[in-house]
Amino acid sequence: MLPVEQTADRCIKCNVCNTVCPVSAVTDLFPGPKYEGPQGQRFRAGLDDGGSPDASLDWCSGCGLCTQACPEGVMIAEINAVARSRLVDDRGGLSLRDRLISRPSLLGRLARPVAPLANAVMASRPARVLMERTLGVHRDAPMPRFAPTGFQAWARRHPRPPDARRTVAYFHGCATEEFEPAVGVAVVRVLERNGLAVTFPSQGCCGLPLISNGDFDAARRHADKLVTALEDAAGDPGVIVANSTSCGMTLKAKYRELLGMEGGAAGRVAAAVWDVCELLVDLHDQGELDSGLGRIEARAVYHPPCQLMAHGVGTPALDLLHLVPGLEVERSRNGCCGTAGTYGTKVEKYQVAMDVGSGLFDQVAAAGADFVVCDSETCRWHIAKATGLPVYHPVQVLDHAYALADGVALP
Amino acid sequence: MLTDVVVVGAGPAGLAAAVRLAEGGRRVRLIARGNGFTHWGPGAVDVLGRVGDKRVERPLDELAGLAADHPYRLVGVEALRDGLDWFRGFAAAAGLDHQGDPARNRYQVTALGTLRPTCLLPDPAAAELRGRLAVVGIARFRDFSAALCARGLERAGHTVTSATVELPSWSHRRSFTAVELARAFDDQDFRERLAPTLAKAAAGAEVAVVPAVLGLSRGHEPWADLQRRVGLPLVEAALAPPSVPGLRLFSAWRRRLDELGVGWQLGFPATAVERDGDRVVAVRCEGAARPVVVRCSEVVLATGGVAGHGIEANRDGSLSEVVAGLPVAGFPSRTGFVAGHFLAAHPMGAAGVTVDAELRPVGDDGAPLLANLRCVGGLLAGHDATVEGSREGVALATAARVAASSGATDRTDQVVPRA
Repeated sequence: MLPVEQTADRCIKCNVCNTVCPVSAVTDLFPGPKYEGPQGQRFRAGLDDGGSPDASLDWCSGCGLCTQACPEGVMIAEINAVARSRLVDDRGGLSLRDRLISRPSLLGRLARPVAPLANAVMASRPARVLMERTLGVHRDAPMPRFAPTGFQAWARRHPRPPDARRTVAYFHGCATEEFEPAVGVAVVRVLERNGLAVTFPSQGCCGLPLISNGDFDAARRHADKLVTALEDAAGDPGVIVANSTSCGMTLKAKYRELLGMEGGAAGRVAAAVWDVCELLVDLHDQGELDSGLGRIEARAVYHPPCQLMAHGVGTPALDLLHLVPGLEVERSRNGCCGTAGTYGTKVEKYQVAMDVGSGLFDQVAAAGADFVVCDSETCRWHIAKATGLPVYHPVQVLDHAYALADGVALP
Repeated sequence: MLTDVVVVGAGPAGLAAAVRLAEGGRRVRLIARGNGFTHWGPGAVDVLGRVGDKRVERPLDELAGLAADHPYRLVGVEALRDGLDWFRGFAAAAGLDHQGDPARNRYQVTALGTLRPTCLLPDPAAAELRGRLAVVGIARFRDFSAALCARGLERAGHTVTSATVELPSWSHRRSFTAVELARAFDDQDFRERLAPTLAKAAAGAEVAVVPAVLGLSRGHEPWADLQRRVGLPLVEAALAPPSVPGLRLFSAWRRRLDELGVGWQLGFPATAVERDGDRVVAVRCEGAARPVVVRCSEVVLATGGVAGHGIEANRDGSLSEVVAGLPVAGFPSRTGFVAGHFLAAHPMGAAGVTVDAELRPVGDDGAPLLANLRCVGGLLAGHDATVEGSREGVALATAARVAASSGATDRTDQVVPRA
C-alpha cells in the first residue's frame, strides 16, 4: 500500500474534495482540503525540518469526507493529519488543553471516583466560563457526565450465557467505560440475544484523540499498549466488536495509515475488528439475526458519523433500523455533524462545529423527529446539545425493540 | 440478505440505475470509489453530439446509422426515450427543470464561448442566445473570463459586449472557487445587492451570459430569483470542474437515494465478485481493514471506462475490467491506446465491455458470461462518450433497460438469451 503522503501524486486537481469539505463551507479560515492536502504536500515534501507551509491546516476537523469523495484515491485527510502532527512538533507539542481533552481515560480515572462532584462542577456555568478562559474549552460545548460505576465493573459481574453459539471479544472504548456504560450493556444484551457470548479483554484508550490533535508519539504509546491488550482476542475468539465507530476506525485503519503500524500484531488486531452493526448485518446475512423486534412508533433521523463511513462498510445501522417495525427513519444529509471528536469543544472552533452541523439540526427539526440515532459518542453529545433531543446508539434502539417484543418495559 | 442489487459506481449511470431499481422495489446498495462524472461534467444531458467528423443536429435520426454494438443500438430508441423522460421527471421533482428534446440538439455555452451540442439543458443554461449578448464576469473569480467567453461567442456570430462586476461585500476574505461563490448566491440578500450591478453591466443586451455559479443548494430558485431582479434572461456558462450544475444534480440524486432507503458508500472501490457457477453471489470491495463482502442477487457495474477507472491498463498492453475481470475488447497493444495529439480522439476512450441486449457481458461466442451481472454507461464497448457526446444519454438509456428487466435473473439459474 502506498504511503499516505505519496498518494498526493494521484491528484488530478479536480476539486471534488473541496466541494464536500464541511469546514471550508462555513469558514474561510480553512481554504479547503485540496489546497492543504495534495497541493500543500508539494511544498512539505522536501522539508527536512518538518516545517509546514500553512498553519491554517489546523482548522481541518479530520472528518475524512474529502478522502471518501476523491475519485482518484488521494488520502487527503490523512495527508493533513500527518502534516498537522509535524505542525504540533514544530510548536513543541500540544497545548495543555489539547493534552487534556485528548486523554479521555485519564480524565475518567481522575474524575470518576468523585463523579457527582465532577459532574456538578462541569454543569456549573461559572466553572465552565473559568474553564473557557483558562483552558480554552468552549463554555457551551457538551460535556458528558462521568458514570459513577464504569462499564468494566458491570462486565466483571456479568455471567456468560450458557447457550451461546460462538464468542466475540468486546472493545468498548473509553466513552462506554467512563461516560456511557448503558450503551455497553445494550451492546452485550443484543449480541447475547443473537447467540454470541461476549468476553471483555482489559483495554485502554485507542489514542484517536491524540492522533486528531496531532501528538503521534503519545498516540503510538496508547496504540502499542492497546494492541498488546487485544492481541490474544484477535487470535481467539478472532472477532473484536467495537461500538464506537471512531475508535473502531482507528484500530482498523489509522494505526496503519498514520502511525505506520503495519502487519504483525497491529495488523491481526485490525483485521479482527468489527463495528457492532457491521457484525449484526453479517449475522442477518447468515440468517442468524433474531428479527423478533418490537414495534417502535416513532420518527428518527439517523446520522452516519463521518468516521463510520471511513470503515467502508456502508451504513449497517440504517439497514438494522429499517428492520424495526413502525420506526420511520430518515438519513442525515450532513456528511459530518461538526464536532469531529474534540474539535468542536475548542473555544476557537466551537462555532465552526455548530455551523457545520446546522444542516443536520435543521433537518432533525423539519423531520419532527422524536429522537436521533448515531453510532459515535462525541457526535451524539454534540447533536443532543444542539437539538435538545435524545440521541441513541443504534444498538440501544434494537435493544429497546427486543425488550418491547418481550413485553419488558425499559426506562 | 438485506441487499438485492449492488450497483457499483456513482456517475450518472450508477445513480440512475440505483434510483430506478429502488423505485421498482429492489433493495439496492451503491458502492463507489469516489464521486463521479456529476462533479466533472458541464451539467447537461448529452445524447449524441457528433458522429465521425459531423456535428449532430437530430440525434434520433442518427441512431439507426450507429454501429451494431453501440449501446443505443443494443437497448433501442424506446429505452433512450424512457431514460430521458424519466430523468426529466426526476429532476423536475427536485426543483431542477430541464428543457430539450432528443429530436433536435440544443447548444450549451461554455466559459470559452464555444457552443457544445447537447440534448437536455437545465433551465439556467437553457435560454436561447438571441440578439445582443452581454457576457458578465465576476472580479477575482479565476475560472471565468468575460472577455474570453465574449470573443468565442463573437466567433460563433453573436453580437457581444463583455463586462466584469465587483461582488457586494461578503464574508470571504480569501480567493474563492465556483462552489464558494455558488453558496453565496444561495443567500437572497447577496442576490439583492448584486442584481443592480449585474443589470447595469448587461444594459442594452437581450440576454446575459454569466458563469455557472448561481446557487448551489436551492435548486434553480436562486437563478430564477436573480433573473427576475436583473430583468433579462440569464444563461449560465459551463465552467471547468467542479461543476456547480452537476453538484445541484448530485444532491438531488443523493436525496432520492436516501428517500428510497438505498445505502450508499463512497471511498472504497469494488475489487472483485464472488461467483457460484455463472452467477455472482457477492461483491467484494476494499474496507478499512479487510475486504468487505456484500451479498446480493444481482450486480450492476457502472464503473466507467478508462477515465472512470472501470477499465485499467496492464503492463503487457492489455486492458482489464477492474471488478469482475471481464474481457475488454480490441486492444492488441499499448501503442494503440492513444492518438497523435492531446485533444484527438484516443482509441482507449472507446475501450469497453461487450454485452448482449440485456447488457450482460458476453464472451467471444456472444454467449453471456454471467447471468446476473449487467453493465451500464461508459463501461460499455461500442462507443466513446467523450468524443461523440453521448455520456448521459447512454447512462440513462442503459439504466432504463436495467430497471425494466431487474429481477428477471432471480427466477432462473439458466442463462436464457432474451430475444
